Amino acid sequence: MAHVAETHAPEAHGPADHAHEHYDPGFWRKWVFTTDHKMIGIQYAVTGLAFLFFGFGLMMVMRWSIAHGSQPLPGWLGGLMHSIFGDSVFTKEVEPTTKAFLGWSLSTQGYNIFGAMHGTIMVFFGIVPIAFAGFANFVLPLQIGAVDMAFPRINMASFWSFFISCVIMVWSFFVEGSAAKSGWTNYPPLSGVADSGPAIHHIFNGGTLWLLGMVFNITSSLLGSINFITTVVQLRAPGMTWGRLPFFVWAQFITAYLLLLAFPPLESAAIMNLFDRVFGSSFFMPTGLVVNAMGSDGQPLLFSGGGSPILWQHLFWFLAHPEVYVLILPGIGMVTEIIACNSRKPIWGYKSMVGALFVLAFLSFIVWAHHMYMTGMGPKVSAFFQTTTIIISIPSVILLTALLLSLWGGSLRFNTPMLFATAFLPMFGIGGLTGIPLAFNAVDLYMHDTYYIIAHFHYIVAPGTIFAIFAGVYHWYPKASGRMMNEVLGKLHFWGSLICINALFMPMFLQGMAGVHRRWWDGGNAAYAATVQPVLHWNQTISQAAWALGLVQLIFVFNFCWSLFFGRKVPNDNPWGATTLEWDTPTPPPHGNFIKPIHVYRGPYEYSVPGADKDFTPQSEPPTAHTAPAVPGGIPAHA
Amino acid sequence: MEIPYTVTPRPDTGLANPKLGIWLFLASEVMLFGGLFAGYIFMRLGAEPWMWPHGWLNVPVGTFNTFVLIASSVTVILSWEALKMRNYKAFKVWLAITWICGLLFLGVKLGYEWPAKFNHFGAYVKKEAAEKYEAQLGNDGEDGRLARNLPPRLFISGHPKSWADVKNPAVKEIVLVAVDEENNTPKSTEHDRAHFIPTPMAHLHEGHEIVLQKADLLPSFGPFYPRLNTYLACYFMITGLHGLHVLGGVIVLFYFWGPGSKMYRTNPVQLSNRIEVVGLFWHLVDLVWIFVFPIFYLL
Amino acid sequence: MADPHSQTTALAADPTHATGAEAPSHGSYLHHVRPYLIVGAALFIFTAVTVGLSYVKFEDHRTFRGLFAQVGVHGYAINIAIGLAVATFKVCLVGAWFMHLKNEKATIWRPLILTFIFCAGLFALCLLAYMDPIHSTSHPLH
Repeated sequence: MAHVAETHAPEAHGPADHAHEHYDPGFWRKWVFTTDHKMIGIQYAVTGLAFLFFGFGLMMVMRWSIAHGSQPLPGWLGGLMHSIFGDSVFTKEVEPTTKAFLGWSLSTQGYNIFGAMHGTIMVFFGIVPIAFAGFANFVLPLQIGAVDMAFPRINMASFWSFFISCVIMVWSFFVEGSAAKSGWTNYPPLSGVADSGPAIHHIFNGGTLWLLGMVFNITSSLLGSINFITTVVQLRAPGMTWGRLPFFVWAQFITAYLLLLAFPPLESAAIMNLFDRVFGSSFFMPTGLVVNAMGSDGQPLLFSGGGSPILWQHLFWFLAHPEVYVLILPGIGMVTEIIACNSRKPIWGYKSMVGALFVLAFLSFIVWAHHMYMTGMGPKVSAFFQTTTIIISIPSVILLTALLLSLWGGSLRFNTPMLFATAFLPMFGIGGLTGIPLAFNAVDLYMHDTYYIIAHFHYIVAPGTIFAIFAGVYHWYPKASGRMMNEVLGKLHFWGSLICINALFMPMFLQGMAGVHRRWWDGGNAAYAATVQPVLHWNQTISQAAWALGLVQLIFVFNFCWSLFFGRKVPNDNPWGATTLEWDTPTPPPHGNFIKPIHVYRGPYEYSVPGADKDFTPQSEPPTAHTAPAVPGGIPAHA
Repeated sequence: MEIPYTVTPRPDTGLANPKLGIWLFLASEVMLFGGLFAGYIFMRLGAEPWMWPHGWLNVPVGTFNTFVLIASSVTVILSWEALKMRNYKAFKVWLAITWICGLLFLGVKLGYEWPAKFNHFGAYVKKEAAEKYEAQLGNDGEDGRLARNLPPRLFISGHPKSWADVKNPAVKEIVLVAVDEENNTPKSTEHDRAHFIPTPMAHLHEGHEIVLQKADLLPSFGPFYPRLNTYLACYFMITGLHGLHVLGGVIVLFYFWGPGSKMYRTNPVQLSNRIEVVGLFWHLVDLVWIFVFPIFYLL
Repeated sequence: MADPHSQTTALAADPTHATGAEAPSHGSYLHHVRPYLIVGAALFIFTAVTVGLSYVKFEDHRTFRGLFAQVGVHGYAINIAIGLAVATFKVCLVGAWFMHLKNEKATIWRPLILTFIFCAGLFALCLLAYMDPIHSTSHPLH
C-alpha cells in the first residue's frame, strides 16, 4: 500500500498547489452554482438549518392547539399565521353569542397539515441534509485527504435537485387545499384520496406535490450517496488505509450505502402513489372504499380496485427503517470525533465500532415490519421481526458503550461541542432503551401511535442527532469560517436546550403510557378527557417547554451569525488540537483543500501517545524515533 | 485542481471513478425496479384469478422489440471494443446502430403498442348484473365456465360506437360495434391463454351491437388506461419508467456518437471509458426488459 | 486530464488497452468480439425459447397432471417458473459477459451482493402477503 501510495502522490496533489492560487470562478460559480464540496456542504447545512427551524415552528403552533384546543392564537400571531397559510389551515374563532371576532386558531385539518409537514421537513429536509449531506460534504473529503468529491458536478446536481424539492414542498403550502395532510408516512388510503375534489387542482395539490417533492429529494440523496461512496473508495490520500479512516468517515460511508439501497423502493412506491393520484389506478386503494367529506359524499370512490394499502406500508418502511439509521449514524460519527478530540484519548474499541456499524446497517434492512404490527400481521412474521429488532439493539449498544468507555480516564475538556457530544450519550441511551419494549408485538399493540412512541424516537433524533449536529457545528465552525463561536453563548444554548428538551419529551412517556394518542389535535381534551384525565395537565407543561426551547435556539442563531463577523479569530489552523486531516488545511480551506502533499502515517485517534512531545499526533505526521509506531485505529494510551 | 482517477484506474482498487459510480447507480436502479416488480408480484398474488388478464399484449411485436434491444446491447459492446482498438470508423457505425435501435424500440412502443391500448374499450361487469350479459360472459349453464371449474369471466372488451358516449356521464349506455373473440365465443377456453398471433376482434353486424348499461359496470370502464385494472397500471408504470431509461440512454448515446466523439482526438482513453459506462447503463436497460417481456407479454 | 504519462501507464497496466494501442488487424478484432457475438446469439435463441415454452400447456401433459394434483400446483405455475428461469439465465449472461461481471473487481462485487440480498428481502414482501391475511383485501365484489 505504501508503495502504491507513493507513486500516485504527486499526481493527486501536485496540480492542487497551483490550481487554488488561480481559482477565481466569479460570484455565481463561487457562491451559487459551485462545484466545490465545502461550499456545497455549507449550502446544504444552511438550507437544512432553515428547514429545521421551519419544521420546529410548525410544531410550536401545533403545541398551542394541543395545549389550548380551539382557543385562538395570541393576537398578532394568529393574524400573521392566517395571512401566510390561509383559510385551509386557520379558522376564525368567534364568540358564540355576540359573534365578536376573537382571533385565529389552527383548524383540525391545519393540525394534520402541520403534523405531516413537520415530520417530512424534519426528516427529509432538515436532519438528512445537515447531518449527512452537509457535514459529509464539508468534512469527509477533508478527512480522507481528497482534493474534492469524486464527481463535483454531480455533487452540484445533487444540491440543486434537493433545492427543487425544497421549493416544491414550500410551494405546496400555498396551493388550493394547502400541503399534504396524511402524515409524514403518507399512508394510503388517506394519501390516495386527500387533496382531491372539485376545487382542487388535479396535479398541483398538496398530496401530489408531496410525492413530486419526494421524488426530487430521493434523486438528490441517490446522487449524493453515489458520490460519497466513490469518494471514500477512490480518493483516500496515500497511506489512508481502511483501518486509518476516522470513524466519522466510516459512519457516513455506511449511511451512504443505506441511502443508496433503501431509498429506491420508496421512489417506486412514490411512483405507484402518483399513478393512483393522477391516473386513477389502484395500487394502494382497496375496492369499494367509501370515504366521507373528501369530495365523494359517501359514495364508493372511482378506483379500479384490488389494491392493498399494506403494500405502501411495506415499501415505505423498507426505506424508512434504514432511514432511522441514516438519521442517527452521522450523528454518532460526529460525536465520536468530538469525544476523541476533547477527551484527548483514543476511541475505545475502534474496530468493534466499525464492525457494529456494518451489522447495524445490514440488520436495518430486515426489521422494517416492526412498524406494522398493527396491520393484522400474523404471529410467524411478527416473531421474525421481533427477533431481528431485538438483535439490532446489540450493535447500537456496542456503539454507545464504546463511546462511554472512551470518556473513561480521559482529560475531558468541556467546551461547547463536547457538552453537546456528552449529552448526546444519555439522551440517545434513553431513546434507544425505551425502544426495546416497542420491539415486542404485545407491548406495541398498546403503545402504537401514542406519545410514548413520539417521545421514544424524538429522544433519538432531537436530543440525539440534533445535539450531535449542534456539536458538529460548534466543532467545525472555526474550520469553515476562520472564527470561533462564542463559548458563553454556546454554553447558555446548551444548558437551555438540555433542560427544555427533557421537560418537553420526558412527560410524553407518561402521557403515552396512559394512552394519549398522537393524532388528537386538542391533546385529548374534547373526546377522551375521561380516559386520560390524570395526564392531560402535562399538555400545557410540554407546550411551554417547547416554546422555551424555541427561544433558546435564538441564542444559537444569534451566535452563528454574530461570530461570522465578530467571533474570535482562530489562533491557528488546528484550534482544538485534533489529529484528523481536516485540520491540516489552511483556514478556511481553499479550493483544492491542501497546500502541501498529504501522506497518512497513523490511525485517526493518536491522542496522548506516550513519549510524544505533544498530546496529539496528527495523522499526517511522519513517524520518528520518539513516537509510537502507527497502529491502525490507534491503541489506548494506557495499553 | 484535478480529481485523481477520473480516467486512469486507482492502483489498489483497480477502478476509475466513473466505473464505480455507474455500478453504484446501477445497484440503486436494481432496487428501484426491484421495488416495482415486488409491487407487481404483490398485486398479482393478491388479485382474484379472473382479475388478472392474459394475452392482452401483442407478442410478435414484443418479441421484435426484445430482439431490437438485445441487438443494441451487442452493438454497444462492439462499438466499445472497436474504440479500444482505435478503429474510429467501426466505433461510429456500431454506436449509430445502437441509438437507432433504441429509437426504434421507443417508436414501436409509443407509435404502436401504447396507442393500440388507448383505442381499445374494456369494462368489468358487476357481479349482480352478470346474468344480463351471459351471451358475452358464458359463466352459467352446464357447459358454462363455473360448471367447468374455470375462473368466471366478467370482462367485456371491444370497440365502442362512440367514444364521446363513453366519456359523457349523461349518456347511460355504451354501444359496442366490435368485441374481442373471448366475448364472442365466451364458453371456449381457447382464449384463456395468450395466442402468439393476436385474434382479431369480431365485428358485429348492424342491429346486433351489444349495449352495456353504465350502471352495470364497475366505474373503471373506458379505454385501456391504468385505471382500468391493476395489470394495466403495472404495465404502463413499468414500461413507462423503462421507456424513460431508454430515452435517457438514447440521448447520451447520441451525444457520444455526435458532439462527444470529438474527444477521440484529444483523449481516446477517456472516451472509451465513457462508452464503457454508458454501455453498462444500456445493458441494465436491456436486462430490465428481459424480465419485463415475459411477465407482461407471455405469463 | 490529458496527461500523457498517466495514459501510457494505464495502457500498459491493462492488457486489452495494450493490444488496442498496437493498431490491430481486422482478425484480432473479430477474435475479441467473438464471445459477445456468441452470447448475443444465445440471447436471441433463448428469447425464442421463452416465447415458445410459454405456449406449452404443461397442465395438459400426461406426465405432469398427476404430479400437479399431488403437490397442489396449477400447471400454469410451471409456465411461470420456466419463463422466469429462462429470463434469469439470460440476465446472468448479460451480466457476466456484456457487463464483464465474470472477472470484475471485488470493489464492485461487494455492493452488488448486498444489493441482491436486499432485493431478495424486497421480494419477500410477497411472502409476507401470503403469510398474513392481507390477500383477502382484494376484490370483494364477487
